[in-house]
Amino acid sequence: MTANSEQMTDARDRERSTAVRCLLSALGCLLLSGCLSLEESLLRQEREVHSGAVANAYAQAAEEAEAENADTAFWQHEAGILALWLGHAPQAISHLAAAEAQINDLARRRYGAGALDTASALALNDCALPYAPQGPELAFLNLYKALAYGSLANREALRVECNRIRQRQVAWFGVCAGDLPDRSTEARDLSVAERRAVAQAANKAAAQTPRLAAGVATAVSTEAPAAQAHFAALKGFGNAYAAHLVGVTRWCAGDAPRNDLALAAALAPDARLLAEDAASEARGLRPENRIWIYVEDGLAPKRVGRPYSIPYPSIAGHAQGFGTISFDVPKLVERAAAHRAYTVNGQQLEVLMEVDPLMQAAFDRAWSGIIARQVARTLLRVAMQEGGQAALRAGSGTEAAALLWSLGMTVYDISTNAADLRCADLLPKRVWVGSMVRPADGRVSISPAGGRAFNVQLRGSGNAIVWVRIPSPGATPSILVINL
Amino acid sequence: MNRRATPLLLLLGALLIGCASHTERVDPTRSAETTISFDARDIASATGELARSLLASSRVGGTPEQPRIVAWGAVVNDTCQHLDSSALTGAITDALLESERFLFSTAVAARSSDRDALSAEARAVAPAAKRLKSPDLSLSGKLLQSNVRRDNGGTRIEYLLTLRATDLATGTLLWQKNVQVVKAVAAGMPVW
Repeated sequence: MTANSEQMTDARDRERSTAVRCLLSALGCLLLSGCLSLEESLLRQEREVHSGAVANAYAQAAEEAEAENADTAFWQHEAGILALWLGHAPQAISHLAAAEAQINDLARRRYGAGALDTASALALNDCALPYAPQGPELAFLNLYKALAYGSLANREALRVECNRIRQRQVAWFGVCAGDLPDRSTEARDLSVAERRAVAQAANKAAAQTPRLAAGVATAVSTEAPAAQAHFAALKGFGNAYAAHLVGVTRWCAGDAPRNDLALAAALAPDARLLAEDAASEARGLRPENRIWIYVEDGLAPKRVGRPYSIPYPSIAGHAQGFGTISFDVPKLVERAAAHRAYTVNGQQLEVLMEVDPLMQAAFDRAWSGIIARQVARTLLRVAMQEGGQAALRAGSGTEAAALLWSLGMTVYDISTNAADLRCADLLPKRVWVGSMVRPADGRVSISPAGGRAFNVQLRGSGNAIVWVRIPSPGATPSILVINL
Repeated sequence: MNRRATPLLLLLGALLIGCASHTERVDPTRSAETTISFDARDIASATGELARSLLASSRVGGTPEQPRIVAWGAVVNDTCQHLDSSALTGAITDALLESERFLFSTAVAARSSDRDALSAEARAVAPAAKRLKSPDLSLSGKLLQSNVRRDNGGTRIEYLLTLRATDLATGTLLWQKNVQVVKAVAAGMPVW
């Protein structure tokens, strides 16, 4: 009787253990399929971009954006950029505005909750947090919204987005400046005249941060090397492209100057055009019948994960052997430029901004946090695995606990792995700029080095911006014309 | 098991009930909620103050017997917030019309949304009978946003709404007033 009872109990235990393992396997498959699905969709999107089938890439990104998950803002951002490439400005605005709203909501939740949120964020993998770009990438978001509004001739909204770009730059400047150990370094490096200029600039409403004012004042004083040294200390700060576009837009609209052009000149001291624009604005000149051409070439570095597997001695496993824990260490991989140079109506364009080092600096800045979270996540995962195994071995009374452990671990894995390949992968690798008097016939011919030239026919009169996007040599150029 | 589960279930139920979303009507005059935006209450208070000041000015003139014709000039939104400037002009138009000292031209205005296309069409039907009145005054303005970094890393957002009245016959500025609204947020918080 007792032997029979024990046999029945063993049989029930085996059934339960089998059921638990089946459940674990099913959840594991779910996790694997979820990760593969995201990875596949990103790879498919990249192939589409390279093959020039941007419409397909957009459709996919828009579909992903519809799915309500932690990556919604990321996909909204991607869909917005792709819609802009397709020339669909209203859709681009809609997607980018949705991305921005979600990013802002995330910031409110993160900073509004205080210590509890910070602690939970530290314990989690960086990718477990919803997509939250910073600094230069955020400036690009508003830059693209500005371009979309501009192409729809909505000047009021264009001004709003330019103001947001300015605010993004200032906020990011505060973050970068806060990382410098000695707050008075720049002040000591400045001459007496420069200090006076800094003081004057700091009093202006637009120069909201003394450090930014110091750099801009140095640039205004046409000491480009000093300005370059100033901003080099703030590694990863500044989007010269966004600053120049904002400056040009305000300059042409007759708005009060805010040193945006000087800031652009300071951030890109090798670009002759930027220095000329800053000097012209400083002299009080207004542009007439001028066009600025911006060419966005190539794709920014892609974030990939380098997989690592570490064996560890399992103390609670059924076989009492070694377990294996795997994780990805993310890194950035640079991608090739689409073309090595550009000319417009026979005039050579200048390099306005190299995005690669900017993104690399932003990535490096986040690196310690990423690794700290990876370690915390890995340790937590091992603890969960061991705890689950221990619960299973303890007997039938703890099966509910074991199920909860495994379910929690799977949900955790899905939420943390979903975003391992996120990056600013649709931003350009390099931005070119040029300016000229508006051609009488309105014809602008853009020639990539080693590629086929293409023409843009301008309509109307006055100042204008011509925006061109060429992500890869084979892709069809995307073109927008904004009459200012 | 059941005895232990019951309080948990009750707690879960209470939490779910507590989280239920519902729609409520908000009284804008009594709501204590503060937003970072230049919101409806800010617009109402700022435009109300500007309208009162304008009506108190003797230079702009106008009587119920001889009302002055006003045209809206440009009202520039120079903020980080997408805001239809008609929200600013509408409240001021209401207040001036109520005073019966002013009339507004819908034939002459800087923005197309302040113009009524039918006035041109009506003149095309009966050109002799319908004559446009030229405006005496123009009202123009600007909403400026200045984000100032605080010592604690947060941001102070200063909104400055400026309105001015220009005599169109002489091109002279008759009246101007600024109204300031200041808000503050903690470090890292978005400012729009």
